[in-house]
Amino acid sequence: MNIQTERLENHTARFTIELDNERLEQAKQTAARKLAQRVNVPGFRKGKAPYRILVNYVGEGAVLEEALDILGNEVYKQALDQSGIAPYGPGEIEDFQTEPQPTFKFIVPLQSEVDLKDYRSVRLDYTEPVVEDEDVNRSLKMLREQHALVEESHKPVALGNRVTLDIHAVVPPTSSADADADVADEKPETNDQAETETDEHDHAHDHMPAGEPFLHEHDAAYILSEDYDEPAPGFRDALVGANVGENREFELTLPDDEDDYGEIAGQKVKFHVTVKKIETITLPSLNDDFAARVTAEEEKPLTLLELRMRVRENLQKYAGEQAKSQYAEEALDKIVEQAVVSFSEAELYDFTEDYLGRLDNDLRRRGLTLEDYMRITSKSREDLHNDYREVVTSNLKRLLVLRQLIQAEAVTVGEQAVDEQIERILEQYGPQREGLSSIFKDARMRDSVRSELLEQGVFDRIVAIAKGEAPEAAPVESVVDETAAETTQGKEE
Amino acid sequence: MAELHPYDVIIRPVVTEKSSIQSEDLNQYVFEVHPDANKIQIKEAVELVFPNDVKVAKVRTMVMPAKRGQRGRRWYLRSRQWKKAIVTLEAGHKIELFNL
Repeated sequence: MNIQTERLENHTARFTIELDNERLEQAKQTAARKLAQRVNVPGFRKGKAPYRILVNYVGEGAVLEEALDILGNEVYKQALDQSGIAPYGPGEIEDFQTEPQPTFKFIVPLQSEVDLKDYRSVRLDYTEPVVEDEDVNRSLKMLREQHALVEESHKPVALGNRVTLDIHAVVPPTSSADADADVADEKPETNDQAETETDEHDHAHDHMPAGEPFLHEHDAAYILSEDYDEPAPGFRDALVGANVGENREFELTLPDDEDDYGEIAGQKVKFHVTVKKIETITLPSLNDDFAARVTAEEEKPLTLLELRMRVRENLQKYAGEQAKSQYAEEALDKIVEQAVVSFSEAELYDFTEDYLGRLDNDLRRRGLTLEDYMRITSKSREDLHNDYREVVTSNLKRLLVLRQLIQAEAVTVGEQAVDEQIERILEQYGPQREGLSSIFKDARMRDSVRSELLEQGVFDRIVAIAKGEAPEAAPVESVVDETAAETTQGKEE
Repeated sequence: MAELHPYDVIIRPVVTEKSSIQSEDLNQYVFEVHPDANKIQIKEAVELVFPNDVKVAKVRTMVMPAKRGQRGRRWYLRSRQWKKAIVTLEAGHKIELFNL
């Protein structure tokens, strides 16, 4: 057997394997014996038909195909062992020739390779977030709103009221003609914005104006606050003065903000609103009594000053975590940008399938399936692979770089760290922990906790690298433990 | 009765597990033959039709009965009656068609 290996462009390798004729004949005899067990040849019991009879009956091609299956597996294994190549997945037969001698050609997808280059030289400026008095005041106001006295009112709507509404809003057809064509091209999203739309639904109403639906809600509660004017500027003022049971129709122009409103930014929207309930909200006074009421469950209720300090601390911690997370993402982007990552199409295909699987799960939570989505948009699975190619490629690169970083920085998580993290998670559930503890005995759950810790560890290391504070690469289990402790503490608070 | 042409005597070779064993171990070959063919005609036909001047040592014939089947109260013919010939060749002679 003669084996030749050559590297191809798309991160694959080609094995050319030449065999002796004898070996092919042996394989054909074995294949015929296997086939005879399955095929019913008239005049013979199963498995008893001689080779020539079987070949006449099923054809030379069928026997050869079976022989290639048997032989292909054998020679592919031998070729892998001899070449020392680490494949990503199973290879494919590219070609087989019987003349002048039996020759196999295999295409083998190779394992991904990542060259991080000089990732330790990556630097980014870090700005510590500052919590302003205004932010503290806003949080306190939200706290007051949560503890407000709400009373049903029979007076017309006024600013500061909470109103329960039926809202039907559409973008009139004349201004959405272009948008119509693009509806089918919209990709489903797995983000929070998409999830908020689950409260809305799609059914016809006689009173509904014609056009592309913008908002469709029943019994939606809105606080007509001076600070917010959602869902469109002018909405709040348009309702002031309305009584319970009154219908109001008005037209508003959406802000010219494509990030929030997408293609309909800057367009006019026609609203049809029914006021179902009006409630007055009396906010509690901001004093020590309020602070004590809010923190009544604590050992020692807080004073207003202490509450302000607590709110500021929490906001500072949250803003710090957000900033750190964003900083780590940006630093990782830079590392990915300078790294050289190569992977095979097979790996990209598998990763895309995983991505589509997650998309399917998201859609199922919203009452759809991926099959439904494909039917609605008239797209095949192949089309989806093409549509998501760019985003999946980018995700795969990041993942491979992260994995390589974990190795390069020797980030490890021991069994003890996993146990401690599970203990911290369980502590949050209080009395329910007994029932939940058995879940974490499952190996997959432990792996999930471990990979979460690993991710935390590597992101901490990325932050340290980008700030220029990273020590030499060494096991950083202790770092992972400390970080995990901090994060859990933060969540508890 | 009109004379049978030698090429009309042999209808088909019978290829089954049993006939394979017979040809391998006993140098006997099995054919379906014309129902009116006699042993002499079969011998002449085999020696004429198959190449390499094969010599026939012995011919045995038998009439295989028709097989009947039943569906409900109706009887039907599953396979018709046919004549089988087992031809033994002299030692050293072989029929290539059966060289399995």
